Amino acid sequence: MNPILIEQILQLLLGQFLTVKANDAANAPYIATIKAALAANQPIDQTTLDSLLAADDAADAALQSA
Amino acid sequence: MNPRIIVKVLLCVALAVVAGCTTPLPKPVNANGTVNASATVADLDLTYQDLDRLATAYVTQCHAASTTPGCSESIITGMKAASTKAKAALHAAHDALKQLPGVGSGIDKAIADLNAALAFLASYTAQIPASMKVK
Repeated sequence: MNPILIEQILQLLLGQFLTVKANDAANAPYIATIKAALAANQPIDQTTLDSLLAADDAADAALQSA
Repeated sequence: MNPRIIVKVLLCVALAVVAGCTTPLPKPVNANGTVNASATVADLDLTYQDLDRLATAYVTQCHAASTTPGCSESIITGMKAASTKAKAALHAAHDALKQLPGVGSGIDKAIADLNAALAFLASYTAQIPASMKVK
């Protein structure tokens, strides 16, 4: 296999890993909040909802430009 | 050692690490069988982001090496269209939440539409080969 291709694939995987970790880190507080709200049948505050919607837009933008 | 074997081992390790990074969310139902609408929508926001993350990783891999087995432009096109549709449903659901507690907010229909849009998007991410899935 071409060494340059190998390097590109490894860089791609590393980039994806870091992106996933960044997403997990960004969503971690939301996941905890949502889990608690689901368990207690409590609402989510508007600020959190707005942040989640902004993250939705960012996720779609990343997909459309991929 | 054969470089091909080294690369395959590294790829397997990287995918295994990435695959183990997330924990599935609980279903949006509490002990009473009901759940707050905003919590439901928030849960679906995260579902959408998870699906888009899978789709983005797939498209990125395919565009980096288009001859990768399992890559399909028709799947990619469908994913992008389904994501756009689901995003519109998400915005509609968030708009409906803002109308609450108004009786005519349409939140139930908005959530139903959102679930359908996410299922449509999931029908594409389900076609991603297991070896290419990044959870």
